[in-house]
Amino acid sequence: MPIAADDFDFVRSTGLIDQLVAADKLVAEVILDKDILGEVASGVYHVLEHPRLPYISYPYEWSFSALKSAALFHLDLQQAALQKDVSLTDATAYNVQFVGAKPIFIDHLSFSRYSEGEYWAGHRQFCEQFINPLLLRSVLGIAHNAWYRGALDGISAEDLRNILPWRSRLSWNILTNVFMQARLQKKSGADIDAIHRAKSKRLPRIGYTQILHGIRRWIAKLEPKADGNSVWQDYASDNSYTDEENRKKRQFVADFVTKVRPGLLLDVGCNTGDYSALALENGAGYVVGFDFDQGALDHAFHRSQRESLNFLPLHLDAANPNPAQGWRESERMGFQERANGDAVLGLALIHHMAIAKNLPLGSAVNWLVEMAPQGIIEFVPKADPMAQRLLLLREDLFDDYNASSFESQLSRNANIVSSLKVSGSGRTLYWFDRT
Amino acid sequence: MLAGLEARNMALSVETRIYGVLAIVFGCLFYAVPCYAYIDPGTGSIILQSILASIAVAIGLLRLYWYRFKSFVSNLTGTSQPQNDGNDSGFGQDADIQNDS
Repeated sequence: MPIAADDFDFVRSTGLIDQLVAADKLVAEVILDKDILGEVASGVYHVLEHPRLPYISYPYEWSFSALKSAALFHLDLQQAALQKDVSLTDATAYNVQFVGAKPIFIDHLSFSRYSEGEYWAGHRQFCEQFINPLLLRSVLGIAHNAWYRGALDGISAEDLRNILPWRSRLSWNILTNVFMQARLQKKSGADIDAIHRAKSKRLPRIGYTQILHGIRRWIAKLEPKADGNSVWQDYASDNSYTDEENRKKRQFVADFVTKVRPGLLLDVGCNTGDYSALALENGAGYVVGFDFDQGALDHAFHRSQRESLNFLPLHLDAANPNPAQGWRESERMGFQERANGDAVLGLALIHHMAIAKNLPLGSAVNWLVEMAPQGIIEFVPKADPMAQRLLLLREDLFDDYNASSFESQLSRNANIVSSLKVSGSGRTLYWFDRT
Repeated sequence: MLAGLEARNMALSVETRIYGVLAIVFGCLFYAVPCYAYIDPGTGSIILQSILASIAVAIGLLRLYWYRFKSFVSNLTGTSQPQNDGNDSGFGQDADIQNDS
């Protein structure tokens, strides 16, 4: 019998799994007949079946708000489990996924029987994968995405303490969970006697729940460091459209969504989620938004939370999408592998890719077209004030950046179903279809 | 944490309460615990947790003795004192010892 068999049976007997599934906090679990595996079934204790989630995302793609929401969710989950004498064997952030803005747990084997006196085995991992990335932004104003993407197992206390300002020691929680933990680890980590002593330590249940409770209260109060508005947060209200132009653009997108009815729509350059929400209102099943601006992402996530939307905004640098990573470069899927939707929106995006990032126009267009069989791409001409801003301090090298060149690039791989000029400056929406 | 226990055990004498808490804490020493975790918990984390738990217990005990002292004084002076201060914070600003989970 596998080692975890006893834990598995115990946890199921407590009713915790059913309770969590019913509350949409754990992906549903169905125990199948082992014979379904045929010969492979010898030595197998159980075969479990789970429904799939609409889109898989990783902690290094989440906004600050999403990571914070996942952290609070994980702590609440642990407390609910403890009440039924169940504890979690680890605390990795990859065990949490999102459906819209709602976190959900996906590791059914992480639950085990709680033994009186056991310590919180996942504490270090929780610090590295939840707390430290949040502190990076909260104390230092540095977004966690780039660092976390590189260090898949999170940010160590040893690294973080080297860059936190001295005054952060005045916070009891930072002092204990970062500075003290790192120092104690350094002192005892290589000392065999200390390790043996640690093995025999006991933590009373009261102490365990109080540590969880204290950390939960602390994280609930963490906010991104306030260091001025982000570039894009104000975009939704401060851009080059008039009200009438806005209305025309929204109508075109609404008509598209109504006609196509995409189950999964990818909104690349989603900003605060205006068009993602519009798509959901007009029949899209699920929208995954992508943007690189942290303020816009947090705003979009809060909106999705508040309005309970089927909308998950994620961090993406279009010029540097996340590659496949981890063991054998296949533990965590790359952006390309997952970016397959029924429809794609690339609004107010192409000028940033082609002008600001110097990406070849045709290549940028193809990247979007490959994501879905149908979509809308907005062409922003050089004459537009927003495009002009990008060219202010730069030499205009972009000879082939114009509407006819864009149209011919788009036509190479798709049909242009219709187009609509939506602004006086020449911004034009193109509905493409490559089926 | 111990403030919550106080609220529940108002009827018991202070001695009983103190011994009750100590029994819970020291009783854990005699239970078997799994020596092996699925992931490496890190010795730093384990030592830290036991330090935090000890501090919480120590502060809780100090508060029990403080209440004992206060009721002793109020008995001497004959003034009436509120039996329970309510849920004031434990150590530090961020960790709050309340029994509400």
